[in-house]
Amino acid sequence: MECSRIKKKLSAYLDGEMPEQERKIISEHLQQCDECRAELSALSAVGDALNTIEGMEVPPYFMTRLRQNIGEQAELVPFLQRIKGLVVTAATAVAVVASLFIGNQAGKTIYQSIAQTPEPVLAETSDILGLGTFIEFPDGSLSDIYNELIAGGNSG
Amino acid sequence: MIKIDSKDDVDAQIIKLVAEGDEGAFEQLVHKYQQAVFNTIYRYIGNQDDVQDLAQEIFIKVWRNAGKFKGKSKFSTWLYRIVVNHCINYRRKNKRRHVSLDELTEKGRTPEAFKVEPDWEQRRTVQLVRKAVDELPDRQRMALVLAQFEEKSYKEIAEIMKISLSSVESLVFRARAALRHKLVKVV
Repeated sequence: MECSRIKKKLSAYLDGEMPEQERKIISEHLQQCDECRAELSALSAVGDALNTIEGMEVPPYFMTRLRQNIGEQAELVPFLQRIKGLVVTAATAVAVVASLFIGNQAGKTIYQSIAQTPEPVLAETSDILGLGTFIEFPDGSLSDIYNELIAGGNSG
Repeated sequence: MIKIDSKDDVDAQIIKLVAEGDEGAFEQLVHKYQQAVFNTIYRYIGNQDDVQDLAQEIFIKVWRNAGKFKGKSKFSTWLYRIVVNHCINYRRKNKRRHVSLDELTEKGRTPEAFKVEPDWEQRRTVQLVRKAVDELPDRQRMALVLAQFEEKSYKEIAEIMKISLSSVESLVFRARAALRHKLVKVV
């Protein structure tokens, strides 16, 4: 095995993380190769340096605080569920009221727009039915004579 | 205290009790693993300030999700997976406001680990090593912490980090090679 490949395996070699066969090959290589032996020594020194980093003691009140936190969360969860139910009910009520209001307003607006524009509609309709022809009777027509007879006394 | 005879699946039986709401069983698990959880978090994030809060969150997660543990892996693997995810998320969120050890000492705030060191040279070595570890990429640092300090096997690290065995080997190797390069004057 080449030195470059051996060097990449030295970390796993130090951790005892390789099959016995491979371990044997590397051990034999290390006996013959100064460079790889120096590399192993350097990696080992890195491990020693790392071991100077201490851990952190668990504070004595850790479990007490943990119990408190869990207790608070246990109280909080049903409260949030109740709040969630209330929020859903309130949102539904708001939606119903809003839809009634909007429907009412829309109805009023449509009614007003219809109520404000009756004449053009009637005029158009009278034109279509030909009712305009009865507003003034043609001169000398029976209708005109009849009309004059009725109104005759007044017109002189 | 709960007495369980079989040593192989003690944790699996305890976590079942925890899932049923047994607070005594939960305390038993916390006492068993709290030191390992503290050490792993501290060695990974590099400062003591947030370790306890993170440990609290992790054990609360264990309490609330105990029912989800199906026994497909060892309990410790499941727990370490929670620890790893929490730590990595923490580092991602706090990258910008992360304070290095050098900055801490400049401000006169001495980390607890330094206080017990007998001489200045030793303290300086610890400081340099810590800083070098702190500068490693997230996954390299976590793989190194689990292999070097927690003495987890590569197989278990692969399960915890959900990566292949060869990836673990590569991460640990690259972490040590980077440290060797950075600490060339120290080691």
